[in-house]
Amino acid sequence: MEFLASPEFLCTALFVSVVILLLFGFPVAFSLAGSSLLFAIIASAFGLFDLSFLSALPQRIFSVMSNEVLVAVPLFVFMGVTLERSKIAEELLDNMGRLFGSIRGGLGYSVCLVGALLAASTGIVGATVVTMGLLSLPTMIRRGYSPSLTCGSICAAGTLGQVIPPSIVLVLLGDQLSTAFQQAQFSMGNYSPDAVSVNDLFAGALIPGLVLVSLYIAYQIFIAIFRPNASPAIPAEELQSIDRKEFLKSLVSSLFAPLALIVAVLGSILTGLASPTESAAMGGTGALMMAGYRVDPKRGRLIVIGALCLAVMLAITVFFDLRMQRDVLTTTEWVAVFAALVSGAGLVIGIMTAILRVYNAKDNKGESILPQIMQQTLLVSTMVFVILIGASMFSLTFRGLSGDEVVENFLHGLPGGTLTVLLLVMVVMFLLGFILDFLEIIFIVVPIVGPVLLQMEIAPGVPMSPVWLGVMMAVNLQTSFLTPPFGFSLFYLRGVAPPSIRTVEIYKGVIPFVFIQLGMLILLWFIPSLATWLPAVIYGP
Amino acid sequence: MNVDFIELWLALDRLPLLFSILIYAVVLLMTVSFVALPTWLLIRSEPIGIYKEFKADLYSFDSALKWRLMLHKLAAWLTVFNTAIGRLVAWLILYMTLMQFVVVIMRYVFAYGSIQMQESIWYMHGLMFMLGAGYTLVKDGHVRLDVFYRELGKRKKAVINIVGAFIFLIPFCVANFDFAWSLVLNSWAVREGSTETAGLPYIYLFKTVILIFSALVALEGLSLALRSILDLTDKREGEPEPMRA
Repeated sequence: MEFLASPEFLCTALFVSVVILLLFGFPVAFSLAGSSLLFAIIASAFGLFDLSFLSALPQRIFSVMSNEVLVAVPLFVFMGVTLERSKIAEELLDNMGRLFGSIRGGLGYSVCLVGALLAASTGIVGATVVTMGLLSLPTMIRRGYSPSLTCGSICAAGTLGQVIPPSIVLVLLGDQLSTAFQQAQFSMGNYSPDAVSVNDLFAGALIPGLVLVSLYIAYQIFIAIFRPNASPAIPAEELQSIDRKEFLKSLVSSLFAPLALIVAVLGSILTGLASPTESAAMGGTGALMMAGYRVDPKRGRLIVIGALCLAVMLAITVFFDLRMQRDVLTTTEWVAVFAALVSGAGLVIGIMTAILRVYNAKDNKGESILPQIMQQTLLVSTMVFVILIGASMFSLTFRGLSGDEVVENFLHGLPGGTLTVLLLVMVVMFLLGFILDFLEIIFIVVPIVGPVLLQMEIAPGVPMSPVWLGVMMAVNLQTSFLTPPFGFSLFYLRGVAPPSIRTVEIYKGVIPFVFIQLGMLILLWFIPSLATWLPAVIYGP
Repeated sequence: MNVDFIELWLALDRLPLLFSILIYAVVLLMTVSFVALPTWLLIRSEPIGIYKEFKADLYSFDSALKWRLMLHKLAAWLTVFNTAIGRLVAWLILYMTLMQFVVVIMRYVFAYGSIQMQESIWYMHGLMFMLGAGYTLVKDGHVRLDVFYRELGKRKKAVINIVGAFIFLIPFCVANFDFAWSLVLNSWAVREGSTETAGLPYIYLFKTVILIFSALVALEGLSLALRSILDLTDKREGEPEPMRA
């Protein structure tokens, strides 16, 4: 009986029963909240739990409602959904395929590159895998690519959205890690803690993300050289029929939109000019303008002028000082002010035109697109935040059972120091990734193990960097989503792949990429500066 | 003569004031136009959209048994609030994006910051997902771990949804309502405002949203349970219900 009342047993029981109940398939957010509540009520009936622990829940909810960083989530989702609706992915795949098609393995490179571009602009994993599965998969099979190689490339390239910034995973991880980091420093006796922000994590994930893309492409090149039959070139005479000038024009126009957004959004974050929320708003408005333009490019003059006005406005800001609350303004500054005001008006007109265009655009059922974009965004972001609320209920219950102490004691009691602990956490996250979504893992696991891990030293005298830990976790979760037989990305692809492709082929194709991912994790372990160098350069150590 | 006049004006120190007025005017203009256009579109599209969705839901079910029909109608009526609220708050995304855009432009171009505008964005963010939670349930948008669920038949799914609604969802909403009640009461008692002096003084209203969230989600959970009961008691596997005469 003694054992049944011990916090160790209770916490394990809570965790296991919650995971089992989640598997029944009732919506995760409410299963998490409800089963934790139920467990707490039962435990309190036996005098093992104090229900007043849970009364902190509304305060937690309120902090989610008024958290500035989390505002970035709906804004990024809005940007992604808008871009997805304006069919950017389709055009990119088409053009890149034509660009690289004539070389061996070319379609494979194009999938990797488009995956990376979409990751850096829309960042919605499911949508990317589905789009590429619908468009590239049939083409590549028809061109004689090996089905397993094709499926593997699409799954892997599609999940890049989790690692390459700006990604929702990184925003949420950054938010949770900053709390964990603060707690870790408090308990180490540092009462003026350094902060880690989403910006740091974005900067940290950029290089590992690019390394991953290059490794994918390197693998494709390797296959193209040593197994030429797996990825043949498209015969040159088939490609020659396309007018070169037309092709260049459409290539540039399809590349322009995502590239401009990537430069604006990532650039403003990485140069430290804007917070993720601010750059997400810029990205969202930009995506709206692009979508408006693409509805009817012939009548897009006002929108283009609007975009130019924005550029003019920013250029004026660079050269002139337009700050308010000053005493003296020179004549040139007055001219600059008026120029800025005029271009501001042009910008407003451009944006309003874009909104109207998107509103007037109808899908093939005759429904307006704009409300659909917003409803889609609402569903995705609400889903994320309600899971966060459910996870708060879980973590309150877990704390109430003194679970954080249990985990801390357990992790500290492990032999082998930091490496064992980290390895264990990573393996647990990896395995959880088979059954849980990334949201639950981030919201449940990071608050529990984060503070413990961040107090550890990665080498004697060197504390673990939260940015590095975040990047490791992101890459790890991405790997977990690729790994057969339960990886989510495989399910997405299976859903859209033609029946002629056997599931085993998908599994077989993705395994090399899983090894690439594991290689990346090992690389990060030995060269942590891959993740920590860029943030330190940009934002200072 | 003319030049002297300008210099005189400069000396009077009026220009910075004019400058400030100009910028305030621009902020106002941008805000008004960015609020007016979406609102106009919203008024044009949403009432029809909500009505259509409600009608489609109400008449999506036909049965020879009167009680089944009544049960479905009840479920549809429980959903109508969530449909309307969800579709309306979805538009907050557009307002949020544009408002944040204005804030960014103003900050970087004119170094003008408004705490009230920034806070209004947080309010919209909170409202959006708290009030949209019920609608997300209507659309089955809350993610499920469907490794097993996906393979189940209609009736087994119904059992899971009924049990889930009554032992997870509704108790959670009741508990949350109960916990939040005193928090919200206290907030109302002092008419809690922003921690910033220049902020919006409506934190007490904002906190009330937690109560509304619980109520809306519980209502939708009830509707989900009712629909699942209909699925569960439907004897004919895979066949449509017999129509009314």
